[in-house]
Amino acid sequence: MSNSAVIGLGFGDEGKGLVTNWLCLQNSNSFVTRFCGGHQAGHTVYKDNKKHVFSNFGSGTLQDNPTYWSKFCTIDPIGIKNEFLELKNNFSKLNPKLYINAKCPVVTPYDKIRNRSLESNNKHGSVGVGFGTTLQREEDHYSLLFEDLYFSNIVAIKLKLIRKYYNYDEENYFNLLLDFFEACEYITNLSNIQIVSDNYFSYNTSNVIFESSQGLMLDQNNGFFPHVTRSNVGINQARKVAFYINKNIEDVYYVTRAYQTRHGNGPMTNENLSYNIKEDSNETNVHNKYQGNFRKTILDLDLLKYVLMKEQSDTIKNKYLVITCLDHIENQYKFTLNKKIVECTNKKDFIEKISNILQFNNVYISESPYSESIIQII
Amino acid sequence: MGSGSYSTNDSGFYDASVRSIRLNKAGIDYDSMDRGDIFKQRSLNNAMDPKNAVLRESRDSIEHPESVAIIIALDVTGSMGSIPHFLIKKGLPTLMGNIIQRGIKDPQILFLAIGDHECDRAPLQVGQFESSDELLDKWLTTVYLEGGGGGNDGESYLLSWYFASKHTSIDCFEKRNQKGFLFTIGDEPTLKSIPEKSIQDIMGIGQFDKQNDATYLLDNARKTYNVYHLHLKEGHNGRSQQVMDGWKQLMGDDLLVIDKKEDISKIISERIIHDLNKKVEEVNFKKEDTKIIL
Repeated sequence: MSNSAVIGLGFGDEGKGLVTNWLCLQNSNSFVTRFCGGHQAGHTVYKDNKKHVFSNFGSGTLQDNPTYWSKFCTIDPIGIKNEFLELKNNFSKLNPKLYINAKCPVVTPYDKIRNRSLESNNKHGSVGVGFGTTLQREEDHYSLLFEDLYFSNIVAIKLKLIRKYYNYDEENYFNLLLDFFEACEYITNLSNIQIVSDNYFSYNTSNVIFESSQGLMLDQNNGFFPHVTRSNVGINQARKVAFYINKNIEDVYYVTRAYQTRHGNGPMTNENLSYNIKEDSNETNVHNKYQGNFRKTILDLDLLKYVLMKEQSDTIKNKYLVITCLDHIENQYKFTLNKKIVECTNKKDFIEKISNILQFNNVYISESPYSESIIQII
Repeated sequence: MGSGSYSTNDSGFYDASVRSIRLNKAGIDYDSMDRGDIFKQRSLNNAMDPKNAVLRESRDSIEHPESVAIIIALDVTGSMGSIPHFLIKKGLPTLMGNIIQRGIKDPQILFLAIGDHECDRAPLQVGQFESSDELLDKWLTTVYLEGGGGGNDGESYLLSWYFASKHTSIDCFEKRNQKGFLFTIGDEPTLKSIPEKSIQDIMGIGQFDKQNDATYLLDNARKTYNVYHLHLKEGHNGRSQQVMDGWKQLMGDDLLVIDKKEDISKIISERIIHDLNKKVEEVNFKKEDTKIIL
């Protein structure tokens, strides 16, 4: 097996976690690398009738695959601590391992507060966990990196300056800061979490799965500005990390649901068309206070063609399409192309038409929330 | 800088004989000369010292109304020292000829010489943007072939991205929104980052960024230049699949692999013509950082 990347074709929620977990099932020696975004991702993986939503660990963690957090990704100490404890609590045999690049920007409580107050006004579709604000602050030189957390007195001074940067009063945030310091101390003393440099994995022979954080339609260069994430989430970004850890990405798995989804009030297509999608009681993506409603419409192949055009590169050796959540659209096999509805006679016809239009020679499908059910169709 | 024209005859057409007549008059015959006789520099020439290169400018002028800035950054370590030798003998006239004959009238070339910031005395040497064959020959032959480069993990190609983004000012982009061109040429991987201290040592007083990772410097250079790397598939390093894979991850489709140095002129001129003939919208597409917070 070779190094591969898992990339979403829509506005997120495609099933990147499902596919990453599935790749790990096939090769226990893999490690998962997060190459973009940060702790704002929410990737759902099921195992033994239990589910976990990954934000601070890679989606291969339930298979005991370690995670490498590259320097392009933000980290949230409180989130890492909580998620680690949750994993240990729900999956007692698990030993989650996280290798964090020393240069990862750290999210502070102030970044989250700032993000939420902005999002309540703007409704751009943010998850409200301070990802974009953290990157903006880093750019403005008020930097706090993972390696800094090993010096608690430095962190204290830096946090004071960050509070001034945002113009916040001291008194209001005492409890939040206490949590933050506790979490920093916890994760820096935990043997499961290690601080590593760029070339830590350079000579490690096991294969790497590059897990993207958001869908390509939310990429800052592709999506509908300002309803985008402050990150590049496609193959070019994955290759940057591959470059630093001396790996070569050969396989790319592009993931889409059998229909279109999106959060918040950013634009999406086909909302005027009537379409029945089964309600999934297990759905991770329900209403979020900051992101707003979870919307679903009929799949738009023009959007998929558009993002695949942006991804076009001669350097991709093998590319695969994974269509997920097919079980949600029973008897509703249709999509739009050139703004017209294309009706398909059955599931097979649906899959074949899509793979022809998008020019994929290898197609996998998933009809349950379990990775084990992913099968190759074409 | 950038005055004079490249071996064109009175009607503005490229004429290879113009250069050879000039060289004949001066009694220079590069073909028969040894490398050591052409490249006489035994240490870094002051004129090419980056400490003296605060800003290199490629400007439009009455003579050259539509300048196109082209930076050619040559790895001059070890065996790669043969590339400037090839360029001065044949490569440069062919390159300029190809570009001018295809209708790009005002190319301005800046030569950079790349070494290794971890062990060379002169890891970066800097010419000027020039249009005339005489001055281009001059800069190219002023390069000090240190022959260094160490047994570390690569050479400092990233210095050229740093220099292009921070120390050049080009009219083609600033006035006409046409990106310049930046080609690095070599057979080794690039070093992955450069410490602030090294940049300070090389550049003297100037602008330093805290973040000097290869990807960051490359992204910055790409804002104003079409950046390519020519990997020369010659020799032990050149044929290494690992070296090529590394470049492929970093450059994506902007990595151009060539089998022999004789192909350099052809590939560079084809790339420039190809990009300049692209539709205007495509060229103007800027990969700018978005300022929105989400």
